[in-house]
Amino acid sequence: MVRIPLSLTARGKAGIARLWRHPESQRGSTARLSERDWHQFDRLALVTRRPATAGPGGEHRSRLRTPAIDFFDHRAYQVGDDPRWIDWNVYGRLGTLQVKVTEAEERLHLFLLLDCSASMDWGEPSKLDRAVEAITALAYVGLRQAAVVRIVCLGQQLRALGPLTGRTQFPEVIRFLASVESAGQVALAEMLSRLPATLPRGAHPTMPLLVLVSDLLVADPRSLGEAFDVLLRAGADLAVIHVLSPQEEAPDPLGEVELVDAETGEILDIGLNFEAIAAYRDRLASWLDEIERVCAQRGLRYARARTDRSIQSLLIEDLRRVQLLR
Amino acid sequence: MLFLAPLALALAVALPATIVLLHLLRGSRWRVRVPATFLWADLAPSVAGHSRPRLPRLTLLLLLQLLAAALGGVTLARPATLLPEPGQHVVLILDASASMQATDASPSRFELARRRALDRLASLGPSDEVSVIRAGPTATLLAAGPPDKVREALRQAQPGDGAGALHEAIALASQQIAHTPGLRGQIVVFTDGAFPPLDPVGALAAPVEFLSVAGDPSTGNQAIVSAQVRAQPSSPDRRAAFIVVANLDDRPASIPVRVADAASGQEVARQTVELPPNSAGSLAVELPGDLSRLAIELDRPQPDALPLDDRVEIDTPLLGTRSLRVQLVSPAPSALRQALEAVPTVELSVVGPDAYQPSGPSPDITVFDSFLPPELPRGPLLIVNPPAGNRFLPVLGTFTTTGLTTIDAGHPLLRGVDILALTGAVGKNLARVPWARPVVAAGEGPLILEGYDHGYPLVIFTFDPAQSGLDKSLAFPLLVSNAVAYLIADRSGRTVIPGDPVALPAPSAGRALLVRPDGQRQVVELADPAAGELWISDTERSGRYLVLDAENEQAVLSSFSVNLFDQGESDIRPRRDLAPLPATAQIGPAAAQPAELPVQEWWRFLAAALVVVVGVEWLVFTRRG
Repeated sequence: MVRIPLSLTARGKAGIARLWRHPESQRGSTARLSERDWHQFDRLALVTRRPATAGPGGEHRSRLRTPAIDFFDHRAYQVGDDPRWIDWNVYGRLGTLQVKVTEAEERLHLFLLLDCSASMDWGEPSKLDRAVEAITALAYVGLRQAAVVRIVCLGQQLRALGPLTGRTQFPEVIRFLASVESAGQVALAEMLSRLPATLPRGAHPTMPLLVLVSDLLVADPRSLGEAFDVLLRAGADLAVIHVLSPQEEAPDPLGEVELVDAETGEILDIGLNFEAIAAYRDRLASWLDEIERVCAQRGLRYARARTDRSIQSLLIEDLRRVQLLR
Repeated sequence: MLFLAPLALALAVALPATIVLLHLLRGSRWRVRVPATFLWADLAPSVAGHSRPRLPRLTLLLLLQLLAAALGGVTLARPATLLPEPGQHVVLILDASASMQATDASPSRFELARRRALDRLASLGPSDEVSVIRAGPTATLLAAGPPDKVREALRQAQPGDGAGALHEAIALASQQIAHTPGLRGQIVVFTDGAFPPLDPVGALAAPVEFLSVAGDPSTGNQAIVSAQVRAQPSSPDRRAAFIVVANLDDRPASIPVRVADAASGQEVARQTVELPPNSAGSLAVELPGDLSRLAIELDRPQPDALPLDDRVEIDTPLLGTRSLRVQLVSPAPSALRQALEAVPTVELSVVGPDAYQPSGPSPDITVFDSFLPPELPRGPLLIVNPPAGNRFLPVLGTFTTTGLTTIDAGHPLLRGVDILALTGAVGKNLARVPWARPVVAAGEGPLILEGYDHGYPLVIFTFDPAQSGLDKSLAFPLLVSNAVAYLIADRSGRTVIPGDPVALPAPSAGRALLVRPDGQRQVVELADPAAGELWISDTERSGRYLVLDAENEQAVLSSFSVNLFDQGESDIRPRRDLAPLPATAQIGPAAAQPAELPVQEWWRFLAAALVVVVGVEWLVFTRRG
């Protein structure tokens, strides 16, 4: 268990940066984020395609129309509507009963799903390290927008943090993520499918924004699509950040090798030559296209995060491009 | 193609086999962790197998590895090809010393050496070069050229009666070989091994091989190693022959010695000397007054293996036959006068420098003390304390002797003289004159010199006896007495060893007729009429040489005897280690490596190819990904 001194608090950007730089907050060769980087993150905001439902006090558009302060629209009176919201001026002009519909801003439910399978603990830098950085930054952005943030580690067992509200709870995020470790084989599609049912009932809000950060290493992308469908049917607004290591795209020349699956431990004897490497690259490209196609078919926001790119580039360029952030 | 290290060939097989074996055992498979294997499935199945060893797949990489391993093994085996055999330059050295006349080998050692040299000659090809060198008193190149050309010279070679100049012969042979750097040199010495230790020859252009032609190594020899006629100390007017006989054998010997008049053959005396093994003994024989030439021989029924040193012939000196007329020219003659008057049979006349008449009656010896006339008289001279300013012996300065450096201890001038008495002598530093050699010298300059002028002997004392205090020492009269005896003995029948040149007074006709011991006659011309000396250099044969007037052959101008008188040469037992000498100079292709075959090695090229193959293998390995 990582213990971070209580004296380290997230007071101001300098405090966050100091906390972030603490040795026990770091994972492997994770890039350090400076105070200036956090200032840049302050200007980012999460974009959700669903109304926020986490209660008042947030900065996201709410599904709740009335009672509220901000006028949104008129609609015909229906039985059961509160007569107090009937717009008598319209009745006087048109002779029909219209109810004023107002709009509220509520807190956003943000679910950050971190793939903690063993395959994530691979590459240089590690995909898991880069994923933790992304989760941390997104949590920071969410907390700053007064979202209700939950972090779920998809390992052999679910580990969850939250709900957290307010950026004063950001150190909790760092402490939690600092203790994240890869956890062997994870059936990602199955775990995503069961996610709505396995979440604590009290913590099962409607219409959350789910951000999945994973390498998505599933042999059949269709099963992954089916898992996404389950989440979508549960009302989630799903975004996918696909973590990819450059070593996966360009493996080293190896000769006669035994390839060991990081998750299953399966051993594959293979003779690597020019033709084999080229065929692997073709297969990887096809698989990536298939993943992207599965996400596109479901209207998911899909961003590919190479581990050789900085976390700043991921947030400011890649995630804004897919409109997960603005 | 041959391999200089053939055992390394096993590596050429073992190394590739080891590589294959490693592939079999390890399958050359590395275990690599990947995020997932489904992307790799069915791409390129491993050829190494998983459950049981299988032969590795023949890839370019494996081929290069096997080639590199095989190349390494072959390189270590040092492959080479034989080069065409270069021609030879063989120098045949015939030891022509007196001991080679020994008959313990049939018919003689020299003949045996000649036969073996001819056999060696027959083994050479027409493209080979041969030089034949005769190692007599001097080293002489008899012939050089193809084998056929030198064969006749080899057949005509004869042994000498003196020592053999093997050292000079080997040096000459090395020079000959150095002239033909393209040929493989070899020096072959045919010798009996009876020679003193060789001085270092210096850089040798070719190895030297010694072929022994000695017969029975236990063969002994008896020899006359010294014979002198001197006045008897007890009665100066009588003479005696002092003879030294050596028994150079491992067994004792009883040696009868016969002394006779060489002219008439009349026996004068006969004595028998009993000698233990490897020893020498002397005997003295009183001579009659009218004897002018003496023959001494070992009178035995059967001659020994080397008859050459069993008989000597010497002239008897004037000393003791009549009074010697000695003229002393000195401004202060007291010390020299006493010394000369002490010599028996000397009839001394003393004149001052002013009264000296060069044209007067010629004395037997002229002594100049602190004075030299403008022209030196013809005849034996003793010059003491040469004055400054004379043109004959330029005086550079004076010196005080602090230590003696050059002492010819065996010289007749120093017989019985305590040389240390000369320490502290004040001498004259003379300009170097080529005709004189120092007998005693100090670091600062010469003290006693001897030489020849116009064929007459000279002795020079560069010091002033009175100034040096030598006139009061016992050494000085002995030195003067020895000088008188030396000057007279030399004039009245010199005895030299074989090969030594002899300088005689120049005949008035400018040439003379030389009669050799074997009766051959030869007209000898003056090499330099101005020098006034008649040089006779061909004195290799032992015996008596006569110099006759070329115009009147009845007139004997001079005579001298050549005798071996060399105990070392008379000891004919092989006593030298005839181990071959290696070449020590880089001459020609094979001179540096005489024991190796002339081969062209290829390992450097193979090593370069190995580097290239390893480089390509590395390149292929790194570019596979």
